[in-house]
Amino acid sequence: MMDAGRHPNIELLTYSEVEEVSGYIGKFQVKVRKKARHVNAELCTECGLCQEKCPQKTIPSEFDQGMGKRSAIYVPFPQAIPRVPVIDTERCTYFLTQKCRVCEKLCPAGAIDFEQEDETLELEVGAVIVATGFAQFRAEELPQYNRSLSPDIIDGLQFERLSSTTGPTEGEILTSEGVPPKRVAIIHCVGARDEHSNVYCSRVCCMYALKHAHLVRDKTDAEVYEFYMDIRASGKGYEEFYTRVQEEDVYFVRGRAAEVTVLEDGQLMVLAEDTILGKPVSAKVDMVVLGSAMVPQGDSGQVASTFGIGRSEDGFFLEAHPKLRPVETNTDGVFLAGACQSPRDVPDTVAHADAAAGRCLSLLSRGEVTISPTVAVVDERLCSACRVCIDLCPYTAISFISQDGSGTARINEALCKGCGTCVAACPAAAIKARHFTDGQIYAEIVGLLHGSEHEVAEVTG
Amino acid sequence: MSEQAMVALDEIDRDLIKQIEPDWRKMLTCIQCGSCSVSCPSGHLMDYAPRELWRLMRMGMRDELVNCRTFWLCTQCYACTVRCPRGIITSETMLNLRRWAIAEGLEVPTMLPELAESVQTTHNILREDNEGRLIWSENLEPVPEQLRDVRRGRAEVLLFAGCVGAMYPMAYSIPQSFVQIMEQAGVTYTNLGGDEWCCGYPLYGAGMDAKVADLAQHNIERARNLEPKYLVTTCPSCYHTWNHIYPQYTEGGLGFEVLHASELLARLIREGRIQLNELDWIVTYHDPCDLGRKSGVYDDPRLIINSVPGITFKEMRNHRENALCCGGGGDVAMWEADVTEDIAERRMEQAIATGATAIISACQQCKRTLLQAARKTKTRIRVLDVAELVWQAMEKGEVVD
Repeated sequence: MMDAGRHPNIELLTYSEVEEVSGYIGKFQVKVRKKARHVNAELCTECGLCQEKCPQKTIPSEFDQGMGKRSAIYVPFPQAIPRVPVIDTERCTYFLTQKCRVCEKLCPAGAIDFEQEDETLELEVGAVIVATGFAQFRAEELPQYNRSLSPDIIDGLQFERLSSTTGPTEGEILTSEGVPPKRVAIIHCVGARDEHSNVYCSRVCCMYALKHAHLVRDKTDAEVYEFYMDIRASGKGYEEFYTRVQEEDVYFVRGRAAEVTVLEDGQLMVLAEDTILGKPVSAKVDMVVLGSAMVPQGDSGQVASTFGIGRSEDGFFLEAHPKLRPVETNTDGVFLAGACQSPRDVPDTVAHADAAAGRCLSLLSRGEVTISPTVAVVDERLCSACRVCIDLCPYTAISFISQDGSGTARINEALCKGCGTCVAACPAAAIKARHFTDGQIYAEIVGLLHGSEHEVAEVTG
Repeated sequence: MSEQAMVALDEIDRDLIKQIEPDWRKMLTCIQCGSCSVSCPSGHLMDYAPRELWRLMRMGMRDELVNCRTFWLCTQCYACTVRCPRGIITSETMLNLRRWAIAEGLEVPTMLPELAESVQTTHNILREDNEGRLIWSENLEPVPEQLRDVRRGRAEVLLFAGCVGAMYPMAYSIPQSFVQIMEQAGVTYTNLGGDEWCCGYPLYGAGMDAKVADLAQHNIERARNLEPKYLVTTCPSCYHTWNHIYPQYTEGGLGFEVLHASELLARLIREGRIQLNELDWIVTYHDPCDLGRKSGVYDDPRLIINSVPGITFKEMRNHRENALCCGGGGDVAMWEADVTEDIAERRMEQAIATGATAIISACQQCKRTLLQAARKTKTRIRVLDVAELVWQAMEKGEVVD
């Protein structure tokens, strides 16, 4: 992030949203809304005084997963680039009551700007890389884990914040009572490999759950019970790490945790079957860490339609081909990187992102694109201007060209994928798919059936 | 290891699972995670826990299944099914095992033929004269006229009281309370009397679903004839049967809405048609499996309870989707009463831990089972149906138990 922030050829637009994308490969028009921070980024020296002095300090921090607090003017997380703060207008005392302005009075650079408004930027770009990441599965959706009944039933990201030196406990693993746990249960496959939530394997959870077990063993004296169905440690050095965690005396229980119960005294109890023993087992613990799955971002449907990309059944963005074109989408010039396409861990994300950047660079450095000759073309003399094709085109490749009162459909060859939808739909038979005209296809059929018992009697078209 | 001690994979019976489970391909996806076994209220009493049953089926271990009593201990509570990560309807597989055992002529619980004969000949599970279906109404003062006024298009509500509610003295006060509430709320109602036959669920749950068709067709036809707006059951099992099993026996819908009493009572409360007086009780609520997990009705009974002024409501450790069965389902009480008792006593412990002085349920079978457990463990706790609670709050009298 730091390198990207400093690079002379990279312009970072953080706290911004892409609102509209039009155009095509090599020539996209992108409309970006730069949201008002209420802090002038040019003047701000990132000194942090405003955050320190803001009287509104008890807002649950989103980055700390609600376990830590932040002020109303804040930098979302310590490593954020740039470290220019933003005012949370829904929480800021000034925005709520028109009083306070403490940050404005104290800012040595005079960077606070309560009047700042959203800005809209129009960019022209040759290619787009979508790297919008993932969300974490909300374990509240599975009633058997009773997540909402105890603050000590936490999910993987919460545990990450607990064990981070910049987190709410400065890296100490503590229960909600502020003491180290004596026993911790870690549950795999929460919201993954489950018909009631997500059927896919979320891929990263086994390793992060093992890491959590290691951290608990390393930082506390607690016993750890790890409930799993299968340990999927397929990565370089991963199985070795699993072995190491086993040697650290973690109790691995081969069974899906069926229930987390909050006992009358507030203690937590995990129930499962140890399927190797064939016996039901229970564990009374002080902390439960739910190994929650990666899921698509909540607005991924909207993002997909903005960029003209598809989504697979699981809701993640769809690559053009699972093996051969893993970073491309069905819209030429739009690439995918990272967990927005599928759950993946850091090494895989870096590799995927490198691939996307590489594809992008090779496209842009050439300065021109080669497109498939198999595209549709409108015979403008026959087009009756009914516009049926325009709504049907899945690639929004057809536009309507007005000419002195009448008009015609015209196909953008850079966008057309030659799918043939418009060809079949055109009532005036004005559209042809190049190299797949009716005549060519019938000729192929006749050739194929020649001499067989299904000899074609008559061919029209 | 000697060769005899090994399971020869090339010799296993591959057809067994197909004979037992019509949806056997789905069953092949079982990942042996154990969620079913540990969620099962009777799992620890079984010779093979549910997960092991699926494995025996997969591995073609006929002898083990033939000698197995496990699947007769299933209370059909659906706890395994709502948690199965593969989405296998495991409760149904338990019934498929019962169906298979009957079809194979294996030893079945001794009560099974009796149950079938009783329902088929007398049309109720008690082997009583079915004309006595209104016996519960006889000590009401006055005996409600509406019940005997059986005319087409006459009543808004057709009360389907079910065998237990109508014929077990312990449960009489549930339909009694219900009709008294209807009188006060000004809702017209009627009942099929001797023309109400057992809904068939006890046979379905015993693996004898082929015998349900006649009962279904009879009940549907008689109920339709009366043209009610609602068919209301006080029994969640009848409710489940009307909603989820009967539709296969009729085309074009039933012609009326099927409601559980708690849904109707909640509507009447929301519409302000029922006046509830203060009851200074601490209560907990037991979710009936057929109403909760199988039909998703969790909120209406809680709304009713929380509408009673002065009442303190406490949830048990296991509630809603996670509720523990009372032990009274799956016909288990008929052939393994000690299993039912064991489960009911565990449920009772959870109720006691809340400090409640009354357990409210919405099922006459749950009421029976829990009341018996309270007596057996000499626990001073009231067990009431929501209809009884509502009537109590309307009357503001003391409970007779």
